[in-house]
Parts: sequence; C-alpha cells; structure tokens
Amino acid sequence: MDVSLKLNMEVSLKLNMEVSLKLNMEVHPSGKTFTVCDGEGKTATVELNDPLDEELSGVVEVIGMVSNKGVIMATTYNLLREDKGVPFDLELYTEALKVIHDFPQHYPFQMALSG
Amino acid sequence: MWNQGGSNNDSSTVGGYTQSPGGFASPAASQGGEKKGRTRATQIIPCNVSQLMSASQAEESFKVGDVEVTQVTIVGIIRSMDKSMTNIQYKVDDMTGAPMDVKQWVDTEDPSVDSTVLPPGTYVKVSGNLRSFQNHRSLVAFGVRPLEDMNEITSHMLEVVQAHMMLGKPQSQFSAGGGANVVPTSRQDTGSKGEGYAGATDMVLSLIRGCPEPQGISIQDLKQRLGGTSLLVIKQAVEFLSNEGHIFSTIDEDHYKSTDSDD
Repeated sequence: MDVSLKLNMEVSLKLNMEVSLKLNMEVHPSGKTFTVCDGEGKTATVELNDPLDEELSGVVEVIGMVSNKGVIMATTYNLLREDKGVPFDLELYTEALKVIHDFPQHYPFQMALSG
Repeated sequence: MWNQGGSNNDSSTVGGYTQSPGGFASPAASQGGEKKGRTRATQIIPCNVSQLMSASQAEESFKVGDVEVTQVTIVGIIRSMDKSMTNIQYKVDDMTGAPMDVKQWVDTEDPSVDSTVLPPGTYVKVSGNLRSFQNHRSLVAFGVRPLEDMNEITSHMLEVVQAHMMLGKPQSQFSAGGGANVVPTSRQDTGSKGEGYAGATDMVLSLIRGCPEPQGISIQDLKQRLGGTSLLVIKQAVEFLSNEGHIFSTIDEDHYKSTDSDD
C-alpha cells in the first residue's frame, strides 16, 4: 500500500479503495472488529487481521481497504494521543478534509500504480 | 496609438482606482529572494509528501507548480526508525504517498541524543530541506518534533492548501478593499473589474441604491455597513460615483441617494 486517501465515511464507503479515517470507536467483545463513527456521525465496521490486544477508546486513525460489503479491512491503525489534555477536534478535521478535496491541486495524492 | 486599457463607453470603468495592490511590499507572495543563483531559500513552506515527490527540480532547487519548495515542513507519522552513529533515519508517512525518508543528523558529542529518538507510531512535524540524490527524494531535517496536540494534523493540512494557493497565484489575489476583511468584491455583478477600489465602489453603490430613505444613506452608515473598508476608500468611492452621475447628495454632503433607485 503506497497511499491512502483521506476520506470521511460517506465518501469512502462508496469506493473500494484504501482509506485513512480518523474515527471515534467502540470495541466489540470479540476483539477483532469494532464500530467507528466519523466526524459527521456516520458509522462503519472495522475488521482487523488480529484481535485487539488492548483496550481502545477515543479517536483512532484506521488505514485499510473498504470491502464490497462496506467493511473497512484494516491493515493498520493508531490511536491519536490525547494525554496532553487537548482533545482532537474530529468535526474540524472533517471540515479540513472537505477543503483538501476541494483543492486537489494544492493537496495532491499520489495514486498508487500498483494494486 | 493611445492604449486606453479600458473602453471609453463603459461607465463602470474605474479610472485610476484599480491599481494593483502589489505596490507596497506584498507579504509572502514574493518569491523569497532572487530566483537565480545560489541564493538561500528564505521561505519555509508547508507541504505534503506527494508534493515533494512530484516537485520539479532545477539544479538544487525544487518547485511545486510556481512555489519554490526547498525548506519545507511536513506532518506525518513515523513508520520506521533507524539509528546509526551519526544520524537517525525515519520514514514519515502522511498518507499522500509512500512514506518519506527523513534523515536527521545527530550530534555525537551530545549525551542526551538518545532521548530524542522517536519511536514508530509517533506523529511528528518535520522541518527540513528537500534533497534529491540519484533520483531518490528525501528530507534532511533540522527539526523533528513530536506532536502533542493532534489538531496540528488538521492545521497542517489547511496550511498546505493555503500556502500553495497564496504563493502560487499572482498578487491580484489580494483583495485590497481597504482591509483584511473578506468582503467579496464581485458579489454585485455590475461589470466590476475585480479587486481594489473597484470592489468597494460596487458595494457602496449597491448600498446607496438599496436605501429607501428619502434623504439617502450617510457616509457614516456606509462605513458601518462595510466593516473593514476604510473611510477614505468609501469617500473616494462616493466621490467617484457622484462624478459619474450614479449618485447625488441630498440634505448635506454626507448623504447620498442613487440616481436610479431600486424602488
């Protein structure tokens, strides 16, 4: 995977491509999937390769492929630290996403040539 | 032959008002010093990795479109870290391309060096110089700072768009309607030529036209409605419009009505 498009949920679930999403999340008991919701309140399911070995809460950045069932098959994820007391403003991030999609000439994404 | 630069019959030609605001030292829009020779870069530009990888190169300097990008900042997450005696190599990923190689030289005499090594999974802001060696692009960092406030990710994305937008366009992008406010200059489509005093003139005229009072609208009211536009600009607009016959004064020289009112 060379590049993931930064997308919010609505756009990403329409496409079968790699996505990078920052999402609020809740973990399912099985540990392999969890539900996330984006800055506009839309939800999706994320499926991991391996079960989670840690308790996760807060905002997470997920990178993966959207399957044709609309599930995000995650290759990697990372929690955004909020230990310094400053919460991550997910709604603002979603607005910024719209800006960068409005100006692709100023915020380009290199399209991966390989699959 | 005379070159009027504007039609004689067009009543909305604004004469001498539309001077390019670039006369006085335009801010960052200037191309940071001479473009030729080995002049040091004088700007540091927020970028994303995709821009850096696809930047055009001329000798030692790089360009993204029209914007010179030699000294840059990127924000991304460390995917890998490799420490040697003299340097630390990171791969920093901002999701716009393959992770970028970032090399940071290490002061071998400094015992606190080990504490500055950042683990993978850390979001960082890298400040450095873009380099190309054997067709391979990388950054030589003079600063790698871990983010403590993740909202810097958001602000960097916006700064990238803003910097490239502002620096890429010629000076006419600046709306010199008398202030830093974002009063749109072409809201009223009266054939306005765009920025500068012309924009204020349109706004003033449309406000005067829209006033139903028999004594018209006062200059003070105009100033109040036009927020950041300076009084001088408003007065000049009023004088111009009056000379052109679009407006006339009523009870005193501060009150004006339009010669072709909206009602």
